[in-house]
Amino acid sequence: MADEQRPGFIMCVCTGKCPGFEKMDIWDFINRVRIELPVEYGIIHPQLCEEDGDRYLEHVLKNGPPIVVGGCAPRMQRKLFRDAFAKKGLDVERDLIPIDIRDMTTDEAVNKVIDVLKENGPYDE
Amino acid sequence: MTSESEPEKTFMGVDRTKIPWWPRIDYDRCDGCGGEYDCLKFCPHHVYRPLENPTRIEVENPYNCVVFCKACQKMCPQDAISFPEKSEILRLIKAERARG
Repeated sequence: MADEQRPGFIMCVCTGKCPGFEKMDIWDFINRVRIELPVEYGIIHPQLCEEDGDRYLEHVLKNGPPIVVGGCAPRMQRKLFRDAFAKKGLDVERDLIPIDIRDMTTDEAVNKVIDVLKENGPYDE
Repeated sequence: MTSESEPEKTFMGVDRTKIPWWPRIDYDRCDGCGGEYDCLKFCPHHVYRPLENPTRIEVENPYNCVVFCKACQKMCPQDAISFPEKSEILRLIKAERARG
């Protein structure tokens, strides 16, 4: 993925108390994503669907690269982040790349992110 | 996709069972989505239990609910789900923590 197209990657961990992420080491996961994969950045947000999560998304969306969110089910993500995207004139159907990485090991989650990145644009190994 | 393990026991340093955050159901509105139970399908944390005759939903595991998460409220087509005031819950959390 050429630099200007590289997406930002946000992992949402549902306050960190959600059992859905217990099978993986979230720090190993995010370090592999942000260092090894062609993304602009990789961060962990505790609860994107909460008020401060909305405000964070609005802030991040100002800068424009597509956003990949690793967290809960795509249907949930689209519903939960629709308003924050719309506020910036963006569309969750087009500008959000949601990935469900719950109940996965670190390797399974990283491989799923790689697959989705490849599906969504050129991918430089 | 569900997880069998127990949710974490504390939130913001307070025992989860001391935090009265879980969904409240308005049974004048809830119809169990005609047996589809959207909230049950939507929430991966086993908070809800479906009831029948008539179809409606019930909170089975209140403390499985992720504090300050209102995802199911946004999903409910009947607007039958509500949550406590965040400011009030925050006040309780701080008071509980102060009690040590």
